[in-house]
Amino acid sequence: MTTQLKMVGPVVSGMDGALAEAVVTAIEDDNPDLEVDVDDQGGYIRVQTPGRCRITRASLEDALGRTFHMHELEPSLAGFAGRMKVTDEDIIWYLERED
Amino acid sequence: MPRLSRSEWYDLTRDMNWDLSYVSEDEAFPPVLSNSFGVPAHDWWVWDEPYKITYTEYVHNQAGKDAGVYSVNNVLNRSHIFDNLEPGWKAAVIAHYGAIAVAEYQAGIGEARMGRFGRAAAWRNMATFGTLDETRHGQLQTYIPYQALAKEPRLDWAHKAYHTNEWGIIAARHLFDDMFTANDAVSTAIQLTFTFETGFTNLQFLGMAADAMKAGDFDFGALIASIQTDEARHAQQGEPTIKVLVKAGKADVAQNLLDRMFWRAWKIFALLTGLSMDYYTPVENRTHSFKEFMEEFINKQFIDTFRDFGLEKPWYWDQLLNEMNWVHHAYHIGVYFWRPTVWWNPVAGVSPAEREWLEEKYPGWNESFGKYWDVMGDNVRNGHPELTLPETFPMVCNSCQVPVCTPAGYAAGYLDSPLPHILDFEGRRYTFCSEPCQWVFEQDPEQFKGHLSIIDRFLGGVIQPATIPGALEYMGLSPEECGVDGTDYAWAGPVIPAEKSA
Ligand SMILES: [Fe+2]
Ligand SMILES: [Fe+2]
Repeated sequence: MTTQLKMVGPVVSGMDGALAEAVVTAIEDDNPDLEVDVDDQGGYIRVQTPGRCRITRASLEDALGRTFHMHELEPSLAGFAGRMKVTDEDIIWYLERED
Repeated sequence: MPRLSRSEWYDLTRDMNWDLSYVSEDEAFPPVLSNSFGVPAHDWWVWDEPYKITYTEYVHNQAGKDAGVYSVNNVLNRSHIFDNLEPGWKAAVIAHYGAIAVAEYQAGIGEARMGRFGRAAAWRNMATFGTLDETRHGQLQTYIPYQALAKEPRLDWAHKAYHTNEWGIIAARHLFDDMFTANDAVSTAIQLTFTFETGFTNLQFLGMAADAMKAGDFDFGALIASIQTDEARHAQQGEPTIKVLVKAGKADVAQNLLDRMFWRAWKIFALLTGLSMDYYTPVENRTHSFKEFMEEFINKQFIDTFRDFGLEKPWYWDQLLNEMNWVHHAYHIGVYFWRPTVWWNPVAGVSPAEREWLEEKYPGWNESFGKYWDVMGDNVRNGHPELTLPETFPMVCNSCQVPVCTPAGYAAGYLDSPLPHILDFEGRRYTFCSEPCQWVFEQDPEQFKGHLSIIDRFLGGVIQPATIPGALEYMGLSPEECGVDGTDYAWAGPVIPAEKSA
């Protein structure tokens, strides 16, 4: 059995280009030790890291240059890989099982 | 005045659980509407949604989402974008509206049932949002096609389809009644929100959104991508429900509910999304093949999540991987051949460039499925398009309600036998397209045994007269609505003049 980490992270709709770009930038900032994989299909953009992927409100605010509340991500959040934990300050996508 | 952050008050405001004293648990939560599977009432109260939202935030978000979809629609409505869409893309869009729009309202019934009979207050809260979501989806997907009715009368099927006995709708209704319209709240959370919405809706709503943007249909792309953001939220009712069952030692219950609905959803999406992605979407606009989308969204993204709860792939996994190579190619030939029985105009999608793409994505396609199209192409070129039309009807599966395609799977080398699966039960003979379809039936024969497939109705005298025109009328298809070749046979090339072909 391989123990290679599974990829997790959001699938954002391509309709709001500025927010989609900010998500990519924020995830790169929030996961400095992980390789961020971006698959842009136009209609949707899959952003993934291995095992665990975090995005913070602070990084999104930096990337957007305005205040942002975590729930404002929903209109662009068309799906995601992994399970999700949401707080006021961040979202974490993760998977626990390794096989 | 200092404001509390949301996390400090959220749980308190939504946790309206209480012990019953005036009525029994079964009176408040009748098992037929909310099957606890033996998990005690208090054990459900730990139900905790991973995706939290307040009503204020919900309303704010939804208003913004609607403003986005309607503003795209308003701008595009003034142009002639619908006129300029390719015939294949029109087939995909018209099939989508008929199969999906009114089913969304029905999903709202399932959500409303969870909103009342969900076994924790947190769950009922989320399901209430889900009810509003599904109502929105029903409204959007009947309103937007209605605007283009003058350009394409078949868009009327967005509203009409579920009021008919068209065969594809019988299949979809059989699936959706089992999944949410006539399901109990706990099973609905596993089968609708987890299996269907975390899994399969991604194919039709995200996969097709990607193709829509490339096909230049921004209206449709913006619409279905926006809908999927609601699904991604209310689909989160599945995870906490699975967790409660697993914690109570009922992992087998969750596994069984998933296994049953996963196969059923696969069959209907192979029919709807399979044809749309691999044959109807113009080849230059295709993002991935249907098989590739299945691998990305289902085999990886969905199954990874499901296994994370300690559950396993369905027992028929190898049969799923097998069918992914061939079953929708067989369905496409069937739908094209029986095109008068559908409400859209199917395109063949087998011009030389398209065949090259199919061969690349499904090695061996030319040798197996291409052969049938060679014969149909010859008939068209020889001036006999009527030979590409049916005189009889196929056998239909008594589980998925889709025509049995085992002979095509056998001929293509994927099955060991061309024969369907047969079950004799209480004096009636049932026919199935596959072992998992028979297994689904056997999980709950009381639920399914009385249902008559479209062919049972035809042979049993329900459809009168028992002729093709009689059946089309029974299916609600007037001669003007019956599907015709969407490209007027352009795919086959020019007709060979009679003197040369003689
Ligand atoms: Fe929906
Ligand atoms: Fe839904």
